[in-house]
Amino acid sequence: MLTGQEYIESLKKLKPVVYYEGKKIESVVGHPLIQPHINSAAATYDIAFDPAFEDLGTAVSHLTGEKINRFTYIHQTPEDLVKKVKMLRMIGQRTGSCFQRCVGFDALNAVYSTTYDMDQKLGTSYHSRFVEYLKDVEKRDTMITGAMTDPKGDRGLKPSQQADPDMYVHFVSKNEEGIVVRGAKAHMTGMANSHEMLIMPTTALKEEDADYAVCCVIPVDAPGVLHIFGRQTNDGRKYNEIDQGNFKFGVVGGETLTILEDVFVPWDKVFMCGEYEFAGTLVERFASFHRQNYGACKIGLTDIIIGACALIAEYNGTAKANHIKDKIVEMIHLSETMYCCSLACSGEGRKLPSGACYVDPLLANVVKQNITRYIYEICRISHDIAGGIMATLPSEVDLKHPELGKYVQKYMMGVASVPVENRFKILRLIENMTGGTALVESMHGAGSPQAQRVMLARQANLEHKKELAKKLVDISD
Amino acid sequence: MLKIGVKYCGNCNPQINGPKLVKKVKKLLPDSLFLSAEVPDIDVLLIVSGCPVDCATRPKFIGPLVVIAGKTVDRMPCEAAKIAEVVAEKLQKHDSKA
Repeated sequence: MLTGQEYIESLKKLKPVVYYEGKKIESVVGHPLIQPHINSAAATYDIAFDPAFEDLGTAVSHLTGEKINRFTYIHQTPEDLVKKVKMLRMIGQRTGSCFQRCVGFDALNAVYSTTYDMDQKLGTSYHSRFVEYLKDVEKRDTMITGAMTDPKGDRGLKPSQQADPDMYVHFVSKNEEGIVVRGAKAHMTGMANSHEMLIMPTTALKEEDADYAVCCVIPVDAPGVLHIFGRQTNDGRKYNEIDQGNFKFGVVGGETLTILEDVFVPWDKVFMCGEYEFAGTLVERFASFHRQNYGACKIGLTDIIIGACALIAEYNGTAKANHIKDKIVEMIHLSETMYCCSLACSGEGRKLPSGACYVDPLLANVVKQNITRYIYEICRISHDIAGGIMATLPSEVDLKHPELGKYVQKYMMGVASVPVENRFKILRLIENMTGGTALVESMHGAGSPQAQRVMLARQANLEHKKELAKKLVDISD
Repeated sequence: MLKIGVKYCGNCNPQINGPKLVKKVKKLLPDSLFLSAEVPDIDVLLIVSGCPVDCATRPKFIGPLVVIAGKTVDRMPCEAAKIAEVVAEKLQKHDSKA
């Protein structure tokens, strides 16, 4: 296993091509835009060595019997799924931001079980190939970006019907050595500071789209790979500490648009190539594992938001007001409701043919559907408690300005015993954790709300519910 | 010297500060050795779970056990301020030389 520092050192050896605002980033390590995300990902490594957290941060490999970082583990039991949820909450409490590594974790688990099923039905040998890769991942403690989302172009058209065939990642050729892939993956969490990406199809596919059924591993710095780092609503503040809110760990995952311009992938890193009938299974499993997470990591973050709201109420002198106390209770209720859902879909986990354990997909989709609503409600309440000053606060530069500072200090004071700078820090923390890019991530991360509703409709067994109603009132037909 | 293996739960939503509590117990038992629960030949195992769910994975160990789980010690409710004292007393009972 790697420590956080060893992970950071390992990034220095890679040479990914990353651009931001037209300029090439020479080293992701130390760059003010990316370093906070690196710090956050490093937390996933450090917890494996801290006695207080290692019970969640590590697991015993079912392949080798070795102690490994849990982010490289294939879940074997519902208890493992519960441990994952608890681990994500615990890390979220420490970073207050996305730590990115769950995406690759979920991709590993989804590909593991899907390649097994594929081999059983089609006689392919993808699973044994993937197991070899997985052993290497466990040993090297690799940080992997789960690369699923394609740009998708016209959402009303299938991949092969698009005006531009590259709107979905596809293979353009194959030979005895391997395959060549082309296309792009959008909003790739943690990509700039990962070691490798695990490419997966983004949607269920039919025969005419078989070229789009691709699953493979590509190093982030492979020839033909280009990353364009995305803007965030607060990225103009990256050179000020207080104004960033969470300057150590940033906001969300540091997403990229990653372009694959005829990238060669050797066969030992290819886990699907044309088996279109299994694309849907892979997507569904990855999505369900990933939606499980949101009632976990986000709850770590809401733990911080709730704490920050309780503090700002104290700093503002409103903590004793009954409506403030009640609003904080409401936030706790919403937060723990989401956590309940993640625990439930884990507790109801079941074994797949490969022996790996899979969340209950219906309940996992309920988790994420609730996130798209309850996080917004929690953030709305936080704005209510914090007050409008959260949005109109002078800058950190003015707070510390030799001439203006005295006015900012004087008029931005709340409760007299609380340093004005502390009030600034908490207000900025709430502002940055509850608005802009951070908020939108709750809506669309792990799939937009409609994607979950499609799954709910598919999984809920409506016919059974109709039968229940008919039976109760003696309708027989 | 009493060798105490310490195993934490992982602290996802703790009701107590486990590491801080163990520091207090260490102060009360200055002659004991606090080790990782994975170390062989420990005399007693101290489980420190942050809440009553007590989900800490039990290491392979056959021998006496003291369990803190939130504000309980060996399943009995305990005042937060007294947990360290109660635990130290229980651990000391397993020191054959005491």
